[in-house]
Amino acid sequence: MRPALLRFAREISRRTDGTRMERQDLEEEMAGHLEATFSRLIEEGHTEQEAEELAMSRFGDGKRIGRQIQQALYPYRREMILGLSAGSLLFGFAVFFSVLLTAWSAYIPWLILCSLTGSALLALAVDPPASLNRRFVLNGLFLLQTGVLLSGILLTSAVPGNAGSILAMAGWLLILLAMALVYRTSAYDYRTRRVRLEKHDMAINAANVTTGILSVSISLFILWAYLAFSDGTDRVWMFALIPALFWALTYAAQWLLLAKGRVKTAYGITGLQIAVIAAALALFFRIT
Amino acid sequence: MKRPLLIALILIGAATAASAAAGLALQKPENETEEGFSGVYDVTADGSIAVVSFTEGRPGIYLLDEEAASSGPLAESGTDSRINSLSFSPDGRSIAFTVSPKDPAAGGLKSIIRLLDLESGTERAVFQDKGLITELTFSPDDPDLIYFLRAGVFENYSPVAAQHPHDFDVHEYRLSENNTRPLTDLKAYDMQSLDVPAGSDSVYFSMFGDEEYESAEETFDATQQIYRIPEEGGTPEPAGDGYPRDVYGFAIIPDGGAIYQAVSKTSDEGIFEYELFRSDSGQGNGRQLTRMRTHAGNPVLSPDGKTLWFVEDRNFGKERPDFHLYRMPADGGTPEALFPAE
Repeated sequence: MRPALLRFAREISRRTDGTRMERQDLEEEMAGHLEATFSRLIEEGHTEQEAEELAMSRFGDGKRIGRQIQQALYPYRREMILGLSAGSLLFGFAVFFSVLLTAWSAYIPWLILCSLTGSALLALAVDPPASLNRRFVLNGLFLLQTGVLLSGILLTSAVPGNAGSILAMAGWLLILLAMALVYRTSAYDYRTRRVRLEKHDMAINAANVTTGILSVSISLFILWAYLAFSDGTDRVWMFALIPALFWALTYAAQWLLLAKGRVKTAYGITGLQIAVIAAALALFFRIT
Repeated sequence: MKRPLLIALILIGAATAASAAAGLALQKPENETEEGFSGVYDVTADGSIAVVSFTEGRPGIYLLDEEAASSGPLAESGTDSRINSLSFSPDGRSIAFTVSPKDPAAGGLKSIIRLLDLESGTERAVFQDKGLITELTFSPDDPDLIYFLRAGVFENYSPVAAQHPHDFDVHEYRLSENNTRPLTDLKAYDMQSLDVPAGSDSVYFSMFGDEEYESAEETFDATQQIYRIPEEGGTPEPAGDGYPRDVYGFAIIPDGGAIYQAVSKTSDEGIFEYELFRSDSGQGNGRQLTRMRTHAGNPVLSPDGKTLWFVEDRNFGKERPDFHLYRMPADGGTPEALFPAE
């Protein structure tokens, strides 16, 4: 295989969001096509360098092809990220000026953070860097954006009348979109390398995103309740971390068990996790 | 990086920088942002109304004419202070009002009672206190006597709760003697709606009746109720046999009972809706007088008990209140919006 053709194919495959194995398959398939074209051009009498350049130029623009493959593999994901980016940027400016012109308060750090996260999402949607742990970076950005949007919703309480309610509703819709993207990224778009475990990987990840949202919410609620009804001088607040820690540990256990092929035990931990969280919620609603 | 993306990022950066610059130019210190009616008012026996209203954060006292329009302020205070309460003297010729810092945590716990002479337009400080005087009222029968609610501390009871005045007691102040005297020794968590009806020998206020509860669980069952003490001071006793819900603001009806503020229901947004109720017996089972579906409170009754004034906060539960003053027949009817003009 000619190194220049292999590099070209690799660049294209890196522009897709598949697993390392999927990218490697894609890369080999494209390199095979390029090699066949190269051989034909050599037979036609071109020099090796001419044949390489011609094979690549006839294949097409690498970035465009990478984007097209990405769109075919993960339909509407780019549009969803673009929507979240544009919506978040508009939401940021609308909230900033609404609060500024009604309460005369300028939340400049928040606006800058909102613009930075919105811009990062825009850059990732339009021209994602080839070398990036996308699952980690994207999920991190979606969660950060959720935090920024939540704080923006809090700021809308300073805006009187319907304008504040409309802005808050827009913020919640954007959070819904960010959560949908977290589900896609965690459970659907990025899959295990082992085809046999693919559907189990998707099911367990989907369940864990849900239980993760619930567990972190429970932890935050307990922390808020503790701070609201105590003087906050002891370390009892650390108990609030138990639901989130329980979720993180059980998620890690499921992931390790699945990687070792122990599917039933992994599902057992998933069931235990769901049962404990359901019991905690049932207890809470019974008390309240 | 693609050129269109680069251009988009530069535009976003420029818009953010321009917005931040606009924010720096337009933002105001917190003290200077309050505007309009503060919700504090009082009414004389003949129906004259004085209100406290903010202008660029400065609280001022305004008299409303017959069309409920106001002229310039009769008295003003600085942007770092607020006028918590005002009261007409029995003859209507002067107004006592209490001034304290907007942020007692930063400005220190202090209050000044000032007296405004409506005939000469002059005002003077008559009493300064190292507590927070939240409400005051002239005795309707003695122009030399002012009752007031005083909080001894201003603190938060938990790290995420806002700071509030606590350790409340009722006090009296004699103008001629420049002398104050506590009428209760309760250090109550909260006290509000000080009311001294004409011809009565009692001072009324509302507070949580939790002193008889012993355990923390029992304390949760405590409700805010109307209490009264003899005008010379003493142990508070419930006024009436208890109302079926928490009672916050109220006005004592001359012939007995009260018009009181309580939660009517919870709105679709999960915010309590406060309305005014009338209970002539003082036994609860009040008849609902207002249906504002927001937050009706601060009731004031005319001496004959026929006319009721109250304040609606149309933005209740949000960051900034939006107060409006109303008048209506005290036994029910359609509220008439008075101030600010609509």
